[in-house]
Amino acid sequence: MTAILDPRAKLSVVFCLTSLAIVIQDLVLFAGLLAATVGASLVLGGDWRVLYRLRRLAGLFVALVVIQSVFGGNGQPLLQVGQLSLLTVGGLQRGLALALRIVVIVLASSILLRESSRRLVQALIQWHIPYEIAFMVHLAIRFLPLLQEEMQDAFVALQLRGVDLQTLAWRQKLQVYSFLFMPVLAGVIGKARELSIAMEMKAFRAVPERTSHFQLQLQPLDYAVMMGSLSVFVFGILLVFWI
Amino acid sequence: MWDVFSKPFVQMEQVQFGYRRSKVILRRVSADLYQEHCTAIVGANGSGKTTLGKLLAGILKPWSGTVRLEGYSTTALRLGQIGQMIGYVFQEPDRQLFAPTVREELLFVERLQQRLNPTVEGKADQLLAEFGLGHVQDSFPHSLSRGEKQRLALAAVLMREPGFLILDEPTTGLDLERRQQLTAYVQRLKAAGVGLVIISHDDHFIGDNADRILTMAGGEITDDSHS
Ligand SMILES: Nc1ncnc2c1ncn2[C@@H]1O[C@H](COP(=O)(O)OP(=O)(O)OP(=O)(O)O)[C@@H](O)[C@H]1O
Ligand SMILES: [Mg+2]
Repeated sequence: MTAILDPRAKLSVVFCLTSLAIVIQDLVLFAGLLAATVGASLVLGGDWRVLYRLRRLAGLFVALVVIQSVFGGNGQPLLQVGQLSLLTVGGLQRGLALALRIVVIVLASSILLRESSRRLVQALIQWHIPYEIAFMVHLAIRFLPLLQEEMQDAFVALQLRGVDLQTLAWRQKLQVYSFLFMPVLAGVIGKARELSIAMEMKAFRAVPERTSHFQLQLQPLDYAVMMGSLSVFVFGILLVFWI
Repeated sequence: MWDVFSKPFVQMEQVQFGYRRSKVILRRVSADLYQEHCTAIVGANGSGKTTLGKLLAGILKPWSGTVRLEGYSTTALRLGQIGQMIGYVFQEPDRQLFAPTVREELLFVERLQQRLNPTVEGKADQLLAEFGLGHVQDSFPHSLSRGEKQRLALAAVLMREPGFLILDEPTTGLDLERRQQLTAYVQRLKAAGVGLVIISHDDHFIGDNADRILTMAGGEITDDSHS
């Protein structure tokens, strides 16, 4: 299934799910959207490990619920300390909606991670997106993991030099991040320079139009999936405005 | 033998490690490293030398087994504490240069912690001179040549005066003369009692410096010889 479907069909599914996740507020609708997302990523091969990575945001999520409860000031209080309501139904609802929003967006986007970047770029090109931009997207997909590794190494090196984050004050911590920026930026610029030379050597922009031997062909199934996600999208929008 | 008289600085016991769950890179590696030695780690590309070095320095934590630095397990140490015991120079110098000028590269940590004083500055200037970086001390580190970056990275690590030093491919990008200078410097460190691990493909450099050679293949130490 993963390989059969055209990347454009996948893009339309992801677009439908993520844009609904942004519009929807109501928790019941969110439950439906979540079910649809889980289904889509089961069928289309989403990457479940991304959810595991989200666990780091759990603390942030709890903080958000509390902040929404304390300052949002709506809904029935569930937990009170003196006059201060630390947890309200309204706060919990909004916090939950936010968490679900993130989960849906991340899980839906992960469907694209499994797609080969060459096919994705080809899909963008056949949608008449300029080749330069499509190529940049391709590069970004390829280079991001590399950048992450570079950043980790730099962070380790910095700590080994004796910068112990736990013993530093807030202001100095910020300074540390500015130091980290240096090797990462230098790495990016260096790579960009090498890449641009290599691209010039291969006459990247010599002609405005490029032809590609590899062409994507939409199959009936792709049309069905695209129509399906379009109708889910329209239906979802209608529901949002009715409720 | 020598093992009887001195305690190992780094003790690795039955260490297993991999970057991804599905692929083991190091399988049950055990080794003791001594401060009295300059130990070379050799082996083909991808045999796990850098991985072993990073485990020795506590940068990576083993899946199972233990790595001890001066008796402390690396899983219990913070990187900041490890840096005080072990200096580590990465294979890619770009990832370990942070400051806007060469001289500042040696000083910014102390400046950050508000411990900058004439003694520290004196030490920095001395290191700059020793590594032939005096004439570029106001340059931007990332615009240096590869060999200069490598020397700067080493000098910066030496600012902390670690008792043990791990160098990953230190001679890449060094010309013959610089390599000889590095050899001289390694000899000085050895004389000063600093333990060394050198990961390298450079047979000459190893022959000149190492008194113990660990050979790696397929994630295991296949040979351990002393000279
Ligand atoms: N960050 C990483 N993520 C996943 N796999 C990695 C990572 N770093 C190294 N590896 C893999 O681990 C294995 C050992 O790599 P390592 O860098 O330790 O080899 P090496 O002996 O230092 O090679 P070289 O001589 O090229 O420096 C290789 O197969 C490599 O592909
Ligand atoms: Mg290596």
